Amino acid sequence: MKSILLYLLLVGVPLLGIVGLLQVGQSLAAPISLAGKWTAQLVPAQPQGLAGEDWLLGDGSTTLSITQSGPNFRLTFDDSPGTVFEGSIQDMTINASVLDRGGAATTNPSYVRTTAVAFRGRVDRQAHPDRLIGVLIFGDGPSRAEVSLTAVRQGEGRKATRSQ
Amino acid sequence: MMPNVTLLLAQIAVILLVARTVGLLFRRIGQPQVMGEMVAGILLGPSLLGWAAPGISAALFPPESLGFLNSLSQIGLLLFMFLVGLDLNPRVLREQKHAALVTSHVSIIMPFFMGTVLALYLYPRLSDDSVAFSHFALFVGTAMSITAFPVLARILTERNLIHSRVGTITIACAAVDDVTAWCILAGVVLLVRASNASLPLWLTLSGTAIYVGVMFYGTRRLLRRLEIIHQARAKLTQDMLGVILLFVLASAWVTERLSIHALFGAFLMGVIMPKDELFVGAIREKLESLTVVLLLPVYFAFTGLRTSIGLLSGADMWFYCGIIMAVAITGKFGGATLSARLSGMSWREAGAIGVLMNTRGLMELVILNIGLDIGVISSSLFTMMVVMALVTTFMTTPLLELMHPAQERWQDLAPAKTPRTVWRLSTINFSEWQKPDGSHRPGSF
Repeated sequence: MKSILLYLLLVGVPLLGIVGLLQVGQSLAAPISLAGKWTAQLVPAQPQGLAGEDWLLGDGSTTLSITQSGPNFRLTFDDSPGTVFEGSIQDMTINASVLDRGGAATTNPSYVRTTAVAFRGRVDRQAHPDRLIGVLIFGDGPSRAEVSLTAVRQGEGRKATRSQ
Repeated sequence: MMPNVTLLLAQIAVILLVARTVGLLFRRIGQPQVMGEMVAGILLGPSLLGWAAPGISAALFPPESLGFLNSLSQIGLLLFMFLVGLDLNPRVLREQKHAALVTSHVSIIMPFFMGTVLALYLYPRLSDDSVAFSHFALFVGTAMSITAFPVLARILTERNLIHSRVGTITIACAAVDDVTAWCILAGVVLLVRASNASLPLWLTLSGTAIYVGVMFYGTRRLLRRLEIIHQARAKLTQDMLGVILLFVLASAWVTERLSIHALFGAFLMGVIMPKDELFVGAIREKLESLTVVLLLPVYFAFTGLRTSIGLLSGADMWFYCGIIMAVAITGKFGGATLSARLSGMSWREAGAIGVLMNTRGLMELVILNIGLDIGVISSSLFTMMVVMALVTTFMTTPLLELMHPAQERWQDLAPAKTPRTVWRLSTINFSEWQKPDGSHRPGSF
């Protein structure tokens, strides 16, 4: 009898606890999923005043690779190691800034980047979870320039994106 | 795409060299070989080689070549899981059922419960909305509950504890733990894959039930015939080994088709194999060395290539990693120790069982890789849990020495079993690297 009570206490109670915790957890909200490959279009493709930025802009069509851990993510243009952005997600808004500028030196050794590059974007969680709309921002103040970016998730969509 | 054979050979040679070297170094400090091989895998990945020599890393392990390496490692893992299943002996469970029942169930449910609590905290911080909370929580709970049965068996043998009360109960508990954890994981994989699977859920469930029934009531009888033939001929022929391997591959293929992962099929095949010691020993002799020496290090390297310590940047990520470790150790060590103590063992024995059950080892890496493959965990969480697996495996030997010093081990053995008897019994499987005086030559893991 004592061992049955012991078993119920040590196994049964935690088991009920797990069932309860699984119910409680249903109300938790995780950040929106961005992980995976995205096909992106940049507009304008060849913006004026940004001739030195072809390390990032290319011909206006690019592939974004995003790895994500919770609200933090890392974004790369065309899998080039010199175009890594790091950022975070707040609700449906995405903010990131360039981490590694080696790409500029790779494509144009004489080029020295002095302006910051940032990315602001948004994914509509309900209506269009596989469409990312944003803007690349070069520099700040009067010399600030912007390039619009629209990206569509590749492959089978959100559920099959994590295994890369 | 055809594999680049020269690159593949170079990769395997480097992996083998590093695994044996690091394994040797770890053996020198009293750690099991497998611990060194797991660390060797991490060293070959982006955490060290990719960070210190990115050029060499990119040349040796280009992304397009990893598919072949992965295939090879999966074959090795299938064989290894078959051997793990082969090691499980229901007789041990029956002999220790009373003491092992509470201890094993508590040592599963406690870390599982704490893992589910942890999931509440980690889900908004390390997951995303493509993963349902229930899948995430069940996976984290399972990852916290696992015990490295094969590593444990070898540590117990190396420490001359395999025939002690602590050893027999721990082995029985670890066997129950592994079977239970794999069943839970099969359920989690099934749930996660259900939305993408080509088969409807009802078909998968009924197919799984039929498969298990056929394995236990059909295949098992066929395998007994093989056992009888083996007894008559007194040797395992290549044809017999070929038939066994065909069964393993067929079983793995069926479970993969049923969306519950090929590894379950290989594992179950090992479980239902006849357990005649000579028959099991002959199969093990034919398969173990190649699997353990050549193929498993490839799996460790592949795991290491997916593990990037660099992803744990910032204090918050290390904080999460610390919490994961604390929960894993508290849940498994605490749960097993408490239940063993309440089952009537001394605090010292209960503590030793807790330490042993806390060993995660290779089995944890297998589960984590499955979690990453099916998308339940992110690369960061994968890395944190790999760190947890390494730490919990590493701490086992020194903690066991602390709680169960060598000079006290013989006291735990039953009076009828003198050291000489134990030595004789141990030679059945482990004569290569065990000595009767309590010292050891820990060979492979």
